[in-house]
Amino acid sequence: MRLTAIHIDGFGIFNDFDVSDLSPALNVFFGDNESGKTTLLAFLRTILFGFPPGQRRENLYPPLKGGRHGGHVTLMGQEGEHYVIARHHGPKRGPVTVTLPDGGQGDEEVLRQLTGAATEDLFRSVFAFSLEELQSFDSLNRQAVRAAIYSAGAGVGKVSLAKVEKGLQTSIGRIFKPGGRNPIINTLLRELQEIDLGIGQRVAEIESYDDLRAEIHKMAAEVDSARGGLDRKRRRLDRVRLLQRGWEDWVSVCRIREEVANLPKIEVFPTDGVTRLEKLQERDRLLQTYRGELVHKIEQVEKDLDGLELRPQWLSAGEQIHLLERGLERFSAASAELTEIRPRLENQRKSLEKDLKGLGPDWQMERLGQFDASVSAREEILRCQERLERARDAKREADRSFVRTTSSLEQAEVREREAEKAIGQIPEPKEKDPRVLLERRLGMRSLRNMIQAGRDLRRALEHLREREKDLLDQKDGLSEQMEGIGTAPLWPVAVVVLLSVAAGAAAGWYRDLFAGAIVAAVGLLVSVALLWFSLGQRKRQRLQRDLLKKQFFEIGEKLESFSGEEARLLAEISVNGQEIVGPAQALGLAPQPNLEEVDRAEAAAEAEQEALHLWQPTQQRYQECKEETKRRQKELAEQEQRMKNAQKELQESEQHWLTWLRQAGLAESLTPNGALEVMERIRSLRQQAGSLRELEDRLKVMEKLVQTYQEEARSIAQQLAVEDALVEDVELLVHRLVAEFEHEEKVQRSREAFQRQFEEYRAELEQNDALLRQDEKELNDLFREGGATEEAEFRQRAQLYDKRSSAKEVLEQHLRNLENLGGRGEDQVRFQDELMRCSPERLQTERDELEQDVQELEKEVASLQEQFGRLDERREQLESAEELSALRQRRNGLMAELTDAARRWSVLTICLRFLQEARQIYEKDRKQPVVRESEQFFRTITNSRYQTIVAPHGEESLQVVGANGSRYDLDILSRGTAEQLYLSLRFGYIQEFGRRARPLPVVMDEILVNFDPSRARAAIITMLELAESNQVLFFTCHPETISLIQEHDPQVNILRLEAG
Amino acid sequence: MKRFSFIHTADLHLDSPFIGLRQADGTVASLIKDATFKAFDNLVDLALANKVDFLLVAGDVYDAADRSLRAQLKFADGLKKLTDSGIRCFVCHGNHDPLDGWSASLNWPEGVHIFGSQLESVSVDVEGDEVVLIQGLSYPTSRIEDGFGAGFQRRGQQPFQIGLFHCSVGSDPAHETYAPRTMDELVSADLDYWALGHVHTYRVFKDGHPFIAYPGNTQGLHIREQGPRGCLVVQVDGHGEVDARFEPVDAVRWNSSKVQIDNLETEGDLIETLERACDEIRYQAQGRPTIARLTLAGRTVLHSVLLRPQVVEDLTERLREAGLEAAPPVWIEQIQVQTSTPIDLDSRRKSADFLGEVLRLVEDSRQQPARLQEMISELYDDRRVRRFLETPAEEDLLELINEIESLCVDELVAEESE
Repeated sequence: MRLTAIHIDGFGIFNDFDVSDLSPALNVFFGDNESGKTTLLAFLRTILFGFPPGQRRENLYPPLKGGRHGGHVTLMGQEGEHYVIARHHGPKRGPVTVTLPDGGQGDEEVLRQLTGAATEDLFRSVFAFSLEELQSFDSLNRQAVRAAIYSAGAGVGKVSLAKVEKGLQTSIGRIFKPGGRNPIINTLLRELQEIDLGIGQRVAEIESYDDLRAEIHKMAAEVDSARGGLDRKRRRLDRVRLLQRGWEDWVSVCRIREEVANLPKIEVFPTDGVTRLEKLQERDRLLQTYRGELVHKIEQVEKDLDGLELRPQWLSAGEQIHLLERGLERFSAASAELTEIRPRLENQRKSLEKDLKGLGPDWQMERLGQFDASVSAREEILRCQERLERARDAKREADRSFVRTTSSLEQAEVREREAEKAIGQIPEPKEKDPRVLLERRLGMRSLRNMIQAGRDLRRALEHLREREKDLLDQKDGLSEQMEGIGTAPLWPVAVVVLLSVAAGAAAGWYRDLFAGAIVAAVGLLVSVALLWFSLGQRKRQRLQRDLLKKQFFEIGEKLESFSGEEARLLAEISVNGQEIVGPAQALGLAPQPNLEEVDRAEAAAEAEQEALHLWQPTQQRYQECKEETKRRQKELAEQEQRMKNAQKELQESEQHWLTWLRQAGLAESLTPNGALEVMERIRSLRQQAGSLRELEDRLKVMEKLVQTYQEEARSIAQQLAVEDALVEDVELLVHRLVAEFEHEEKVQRSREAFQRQFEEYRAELEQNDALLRQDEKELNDLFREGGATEEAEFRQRAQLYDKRSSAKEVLEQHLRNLENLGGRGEDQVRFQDELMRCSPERLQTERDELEQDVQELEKEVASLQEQFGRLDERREQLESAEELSALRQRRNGLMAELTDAARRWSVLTICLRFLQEARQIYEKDRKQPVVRESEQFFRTITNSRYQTIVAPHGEESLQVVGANGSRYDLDILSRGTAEQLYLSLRFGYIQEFGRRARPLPVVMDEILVNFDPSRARAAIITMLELAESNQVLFFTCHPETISLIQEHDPQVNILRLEAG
Repeated sequence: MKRFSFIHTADLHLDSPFIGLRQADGTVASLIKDATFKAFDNLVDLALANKVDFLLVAGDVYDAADRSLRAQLKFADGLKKLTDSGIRCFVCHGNHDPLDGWSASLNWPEGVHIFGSQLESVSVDVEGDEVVLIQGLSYPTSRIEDGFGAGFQRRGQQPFQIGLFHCSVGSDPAHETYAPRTMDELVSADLDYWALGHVHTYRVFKDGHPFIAYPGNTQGLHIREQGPRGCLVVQVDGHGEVDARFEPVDAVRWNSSKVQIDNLETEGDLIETLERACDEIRYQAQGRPTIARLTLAGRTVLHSVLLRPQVVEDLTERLREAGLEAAPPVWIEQIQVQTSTPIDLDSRRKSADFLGEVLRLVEDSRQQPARLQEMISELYDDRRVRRFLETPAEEDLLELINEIESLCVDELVAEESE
């Protein structure tokens, strides 16, 4: 795509400004400062991509010299077709209009297609830039350009490769660093060395185990031997101590044995002889005393018995007297009750008679019993009462309802009259069904649509006929053109061939053969050239004819399709006319009505609808009032009937109550409540009569009981001949009888007790005498046992026997002590033998020596045992030591961790290596096409001072490589070189872009100012190279730049730019 | 012939430390400290419960290099318990506990026979009849000639003859070869039972005449020694027919489980899945404590989560806590992450972008493992590291390639999803 013309209506300093005849290659705009170069650059950007939005706060270049703000440019497409792009300031960044080659209109979308999908951003930074933008690398750093220059997006996503490598290096460093101290592996190695040291120590200890065991064995023997010597000394010391303790006993034994030998021998004597003698004598004395006491007691009891006398008849009447005593209490109570009952009975009788008279003159006890006061009778009264009350309530309610209904009826009649009056004031519509009216209106609407459709069809037919006429004209034009194209003739070639042959022959004839050949050859060459030209001409003519023929046929096809279309339209118009007739007549219109007729009919239908809306609700109200009046009249008749029914029920229930009163024999004036009260009083009188009867019965029983008791008491008193048997006071008599009888009983019990005592004393006396005889026999036996005949001899023998016995006992005690110390049997013999042979002094000396020896030996054994204990403890420690196992286990754990860490280190390291290798390959072999293209330009502009451009993979930065191979970052380049690099990158991008999309014009504003003459020249050469593929608009104010350009392209299109 | 029974065991490796166990402390430390002893106690209890006639131990009772006095004493204690109950014990030494290896001079109880470095035969009577002849010999030293142990041959009148020996049968890449014997050699000795030791995995070579078997070790010592470990309880009937049954006696079990997490989406799902895996491991352990390694595999969206610092550590800690609280306990030794991002590596490898370049480099390196060794020489050539680690073999490095590939992808694609 390229620009062919520019027209500015109004933009900055330009007003109605035109540029035309733009070259497809380089166009140099030459103008002084403020001649509008930058404005023109801005204008081109604005036309193609719109006015800058308000928020960007950029210069909008308002028309300073008038004219409408905006303008248009003419673009030429690939096929040479022209598009006019016009844009003026307005909403949405200024609306664009695109005039297509065929005169049609296009929009923004067409423009986007023309600009080859280049974004505004891209166009601004790469295709149309000023010095200011060239100097700033940021303008190149936009997303679209970035993606093309850097490797970002080439399979690494958003990841920064440098960051990844750095991360890996950090991880690797955390695991291992040669000579490091803290990384994981370094720490593990240190720990492992320590553990190995620990293991070595433990192993050495364990290997000494057998030696340790041998030493323990030897030590155990030593301990045993020392302990043996100590035991021997201890045993002897114990013996000496025993002998010392036994010495006193031994001396006593010797002395007592001698004493016993000097006493007379009494071998046998009764055990405790003297004690037994004294006990027998004491018991005999006690038995004699007791005998005397018993004889005295027997005499006393015989005397008491003789003093007591008995009355047997009293004892035999005992049972009867007991009965009287028990009945006495009942007798007294009955007498007291009799006195109390009699006056009470009289009072009650009088009270009852008085109450009966209160009921009425003809009420007697008999009638009290006959009256029905049952629960059912009471229920009947309550029923009558309820019925009466209900009938009275119903009567009252019916009266009230009748009055209310009469009033409602009067109101309804008033409303009806009012509604009737209202309906008389409104006219009655002709059509009373709203649905009919609605259908009529819908019909009219559809009829209108049909008439409208008929009109559209007729208009389309006219348009079609016009286009048909145009095409016929075009067809005629094409026929003429085709006829105009002739066919290039071949006969001139034949003429030239003949002429040259002839000329050749003539020359050969007149001059020589060589000259003839030359002439003929030249002639033939001319004829070949002529033939080639003619054939070319013929081919071109054939192609042109084919093209015209093709167009001719296309028009013919179109005409055919038009005649089909025309027939279709005519048919549709006819159908439309027929369709209208039916609905129009149905609506009472002419068969082919026009739109105005339809409108009038529709207005009439609408008026009818409105009248109906007004009449309908009033009519409805009138009908409702009429209905209500009828309803009220009917209701009043019902109320009247109800009132009569209530009156009848009241009379019936009053009659029923009177009947019941007559049957019960009660006064007719009683109300149900009064009847209930009478019934209650009759019940109470019935209870009083019952209690009176019970009291009379009780009186009779008491009188009988008192009489019987008195007769009984007097009869017993007479039997026992009590002198006051007939006294009036029966109670006194009974007390006397009882007292006498108790006295007689007491006398009898005393006699029985004395008799029993007498017999007990007699038995005891006999037993005492037997004991006295036994004691005498025992005493004689004791003397005989003691070898004596009487008490004094017995006592002397007893004394001698005791002395001998006690000496023997002491001797036995000493011997037992000796046995405890020296053992029995043979041991005792040896013990006494040893005692016999030694002395206390000798024993003490030996003991002192032995005690010292034992003390020394004990110390020695303890020391040996301690040594043994230490060794054995060591052995036990070794046998149970788990440290070595634990250390080995720990070592294995650390080894596992070490292996893991080494493995992880290896994985990370190898991964890093692969990434680095891939990066190198990528940077070298997979350079971005844009960078590769740019490199060429940059090399040319810098006269090969710089060789290559490198975009380190995965990083958004660039480096340039000098001729010597050194890399330089951009920030160290000089301003000029940096600008040359950025210009090269733009050129590279433009070239690369051109391969993918339509080439766009490039606009550059004064970009060579910082270039030295040599590099400026080189830059101009590259610019001319670029101009071979892209149209270039170059703005400058420097005449020397113009000269430089003209040096390389004298034909360059130079346009002078003057303000406005 | 009288019927009898015996236990055939080998490779007790008493007090040998567990290999490859990191950060085991507290409950786990005490479990593993006593595991080999507890397994031996279980063996002794098994012998007593079955009232066997004798016990055969085919070498490697302990590791002489470990200098474990405790191992030797506990072994002697166990044998004493057996001989006190009338169970005779026959022991030969293997490459780990050769006769010239360090051992404490202990007094073996009456009824224990330790075979010397010359082939010996010992007759065993069952209820008064001389029924069994046991031939055996111990390693005089840890390094022996290949021909060592020739001369086992049926001799004497005893109807049932046993060879007790610590050796390799055929070749086994998992174990160093010692005194190698072919099956033909063993069969041609015309014995009835070969009680072998050395290989740590239970294996019956021949179930017939003769019966040839390794009982395996009594306690697994590292993650490759998974599953039940124990001994053979052998019943011999009146016709000399052998009925051998494997009985596990191990105190702690090793387990390595692979957990596919392809379809999981949240960390909650992951924890739930891992807890289920732990329950399964617990069930398999038949009431024993287990040390387990969980390997997470599959292409999953959780991959990037798992790579975040501390995530796997926290997960491990969480499972350990829960695992120790339950009964029997399950100790998670390690959670290995072998997952990958849900990226189609084959297609990425073909792409012309940077990642494709890296992936191609990684793929090419599979053909040049020596280059990988060179890349990591900085670590393995370090003087101090060399003392403890050898440069990984080429085939070991090739095993890392997938992990490296995964890491490259994660590093380069990590932020794409963010």
